[in-house]
Amino acid sequence: MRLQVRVKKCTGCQNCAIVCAAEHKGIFTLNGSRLKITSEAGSAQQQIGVCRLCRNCLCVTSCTYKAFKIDTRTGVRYIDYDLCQNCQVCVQVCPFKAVHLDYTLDFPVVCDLCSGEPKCVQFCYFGALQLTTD
Amino acid sequence: MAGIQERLLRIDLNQSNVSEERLPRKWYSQYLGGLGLGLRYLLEDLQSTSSLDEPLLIMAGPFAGTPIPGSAPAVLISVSKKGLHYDMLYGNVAAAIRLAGFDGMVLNGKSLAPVWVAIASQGIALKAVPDLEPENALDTEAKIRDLTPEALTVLAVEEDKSRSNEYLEVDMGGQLLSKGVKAISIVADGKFDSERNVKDLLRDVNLYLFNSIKQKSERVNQTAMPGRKSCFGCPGGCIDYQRDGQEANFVLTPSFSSKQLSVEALVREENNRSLKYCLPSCPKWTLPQKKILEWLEAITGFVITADELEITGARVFTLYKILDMYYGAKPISPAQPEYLRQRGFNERGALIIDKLEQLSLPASITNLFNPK
Repeated sequence: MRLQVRVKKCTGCQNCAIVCAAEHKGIFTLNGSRLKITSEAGSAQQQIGVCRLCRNCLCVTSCTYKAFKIDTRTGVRYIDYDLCQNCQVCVQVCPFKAVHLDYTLDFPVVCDLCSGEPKCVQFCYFGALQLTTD
Repeated sequence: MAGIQERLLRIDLNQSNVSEERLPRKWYSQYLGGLGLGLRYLLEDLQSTSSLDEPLLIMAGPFAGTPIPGSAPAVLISVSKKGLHYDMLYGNVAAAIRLAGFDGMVLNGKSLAPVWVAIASQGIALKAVPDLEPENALDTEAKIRDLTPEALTVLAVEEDKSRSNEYLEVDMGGQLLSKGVKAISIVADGKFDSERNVKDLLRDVNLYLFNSIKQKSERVNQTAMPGRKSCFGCPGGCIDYQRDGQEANFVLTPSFSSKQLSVEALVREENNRSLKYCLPSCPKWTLPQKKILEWLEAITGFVITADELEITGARVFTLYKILDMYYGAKPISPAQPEYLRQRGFNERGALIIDKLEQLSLPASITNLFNPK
């Protein structure tokens, strides 16, 4: 199970980001959201920074402290905060810019698929984010 | 207090000074936000010894920063020699202001050199525009986004006034330029809480939206073509970037414009319009009155009845008319009584003055309009 991202369908409404943070933090904020939508000046093309569950995950292989892990049952990435030293290498190396810094926690965060019911998918009315079992 | 930040950002361009003001809580329940709050602030300013110098306000409503459909606009209110004007400002501006920790901002005076106002919950700075003379608004925005990639929104305007970016009305872009402001960037790194549980509220909003658009969900997907963009939190996808090159234009999305939910019975036309600018809500989304009241209570805790909502609309509209006349925007009829003419009031001035009683304003303010 993973998120299927169709960038061309994204209109940049930020619903996914705001509901993601609301689900994880219980308040309205964009800080701490597990995905981020960005766009360039004068362009309608969005960039969706969310974990694609890469087969060769650079975030996992680059983590010196072995804190960036893969859930063997679901394949979802997660960060072991007991091991994480906040070096933020994962934030830098991820080719999809899917690891974000939570300024409140002051630690990186990554998509956890909301235990199989991702809220971003529920709020994406254009189908830019969909859940797939591929 | 849940749902509102109670903070107004005041940027004095004359002095290059930035400060914060606390707004009285009762204003929020009396005027809701957006247009009403901005006008009430201007009215209070009339009795101040150090009045604002041609202020320009950008105000967010109580729904800004949430996924409630149509909640994206901010209201832009300007006072200049041309009088009092207001308009909606679409995109991410209102949400960015709210999520940066404010309910609005006031730009006061005029900067001698072009400035870039950089706003974040951690601090506000007035900076020189990068590379001094970017060719146009898009170049300015691109340069600023390079410097602050975390900015949720960048408002940029350009000298020739023929084009403005991020859905800013051209004449309002001109107002910003006349104040020496070339760009405003906002990093939305703050937060706000709601009175009701956020997850319950989102579930309700999600349910409402799916019920509203389930018959059209396929068409919604079709409208999300490359080149279309939404305002914050809105499933409309109304903005067509490709229509006129790089300029952001609004086009009606057929699936939404053809069958809007009617709330004509909500309030009379003028009051309804005032309310829309208060919340503020996009003209393309006409929320049911029941939902407006439910979500207002869920976010802010304000328990407002339908009648009170109508009164709020009337209160804001009356206030607008008062200030509109005060700032001399309306022509003066020779048939007016002397005291009205002296104050720039039109023939409806007397009627408006009667309505001052309904506003329960401090005596110091009502005296400004008192013929004696």
